[in-house]
Amino acid sequence: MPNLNNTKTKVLYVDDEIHNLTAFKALFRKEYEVLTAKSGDEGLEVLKQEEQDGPVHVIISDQRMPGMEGTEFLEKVQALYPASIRVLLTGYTDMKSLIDAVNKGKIYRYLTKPWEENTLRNTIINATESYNDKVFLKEKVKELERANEELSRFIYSASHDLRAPLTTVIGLVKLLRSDERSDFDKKIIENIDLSVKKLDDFVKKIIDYYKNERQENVIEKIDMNAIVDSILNSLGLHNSQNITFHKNIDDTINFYSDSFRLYIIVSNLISNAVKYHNPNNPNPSIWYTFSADEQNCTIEIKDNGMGIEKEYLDRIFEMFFRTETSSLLAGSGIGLYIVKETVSKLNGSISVESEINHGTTFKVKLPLKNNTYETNQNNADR
Amino acid sequence: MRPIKIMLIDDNSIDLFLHEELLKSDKITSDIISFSGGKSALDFLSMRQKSPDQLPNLILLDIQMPIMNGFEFIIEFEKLSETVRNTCNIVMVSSTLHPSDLTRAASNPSVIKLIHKPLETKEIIEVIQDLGL
Repeated sequence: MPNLNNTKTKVLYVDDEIHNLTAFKALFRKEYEVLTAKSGDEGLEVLKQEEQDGPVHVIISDQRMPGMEGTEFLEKVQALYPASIRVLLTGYTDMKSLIDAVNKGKIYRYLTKPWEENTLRNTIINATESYNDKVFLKEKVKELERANEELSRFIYSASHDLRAPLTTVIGLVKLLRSDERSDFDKKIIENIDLSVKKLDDFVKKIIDYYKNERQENVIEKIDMNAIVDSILNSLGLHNSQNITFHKNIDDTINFYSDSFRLYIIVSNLISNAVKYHNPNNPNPSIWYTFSADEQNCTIEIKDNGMGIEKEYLDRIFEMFFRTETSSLLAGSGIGLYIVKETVSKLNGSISVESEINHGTTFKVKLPLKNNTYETNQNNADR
Repeated sequence: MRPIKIMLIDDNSIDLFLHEELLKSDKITSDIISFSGGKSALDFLSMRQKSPDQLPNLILLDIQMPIMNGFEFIIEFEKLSETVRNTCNIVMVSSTLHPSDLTRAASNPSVIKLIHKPLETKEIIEVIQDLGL
């Protein structure tokens, strides 16, 4: 069976019984490049010497050997040459060591002694296939990571290139406004402003979506105050409605998460609360609460704004879903969808309560010992 | 109190025009010098290193510029005389929301503040007041 480099499969067989080694070599030396060793120590020596000449695909070891046992040998092999496929040869009475091997040595398969030629051959063939599959997968993952990296860079420059002229237009429109004009002119300017802002909003959200889809979580210690402040800072500009913002952040327990994704979640929810405030309310307010315990952190964003109709509450997280109200206020319909996707990327949950003309409360719960983080770590180790 | 002198650094000429007009029409100052790149701005500053009266007390610095971006400008700026570094206050201006830009600006000791485009004169006034100019 050809390998990826079209080289012969290399097999190392370790057994303290010499005639087993000889028999094995005689049987398989035409099909495979066979290496043998009489003990675990010798096996490790052989592997070390073979390193420059290419990988040893399959390593078969007897369990009962004087000195180093098979399971111990394979455990060492796994640490030094994790790519090689490990097979253990055991007798019927070796159940305990078999269980040991499965747990510790993490062997691919075990075979019982005395071995039979065809079973052995099949095992080597399958093991080789497994080896090649793993190598192939690793390469593909590398390619994918490179492609992701490229995409991130593209998103960064697209983000700037798309938004830069937009912000210029928004600024120019503001300049236009400051002069005395006819009602007609004013109306035109107002509409240009609305449309451009809508476009800008949408562009920002599309970029957020791409970033969330593609990037892995980057876990770091979170400064919730800084995140909220920077959001308020960037929103404050477009907010001439004098909304009172109440911040209640309890950061006594350190919270670790992906700060960019947190930023997306919090900024979308806060900007919604601002956008859908009630203009008839003399005291429009938003309450932001953050608290953490051993298991989770909770983010709550409550407003006394327009509220959401009961019949729409379970649809607001859908992509491009808009109500009449949100359409009128130039909502893109994608913000909450992105929030939901981002929350799930962090293995959290989001819920909403609302009453028309009274207000809305969004609650986001995120696991503290971030599961995503641990899962990524496990995958990296395997 | 010194009159306010503002230096604009932005590769986008429309933004330069826009910001000049904003600052003038909202009566912040009409003493404005504009540069479309970091290098020419540095040349201007380095020729006036010993003349604080000719130096701007506020620099509005765009982040994304070709050849020399805002952060690279700051590296060179920090090599100028103490007079320059004490007189000129740098405010970074950005049209992106890229988090690494935000954190980089926030952690840079030479940067007073990061503001987002489009520029709001309200924010400029706030910065000027905070600096006691």
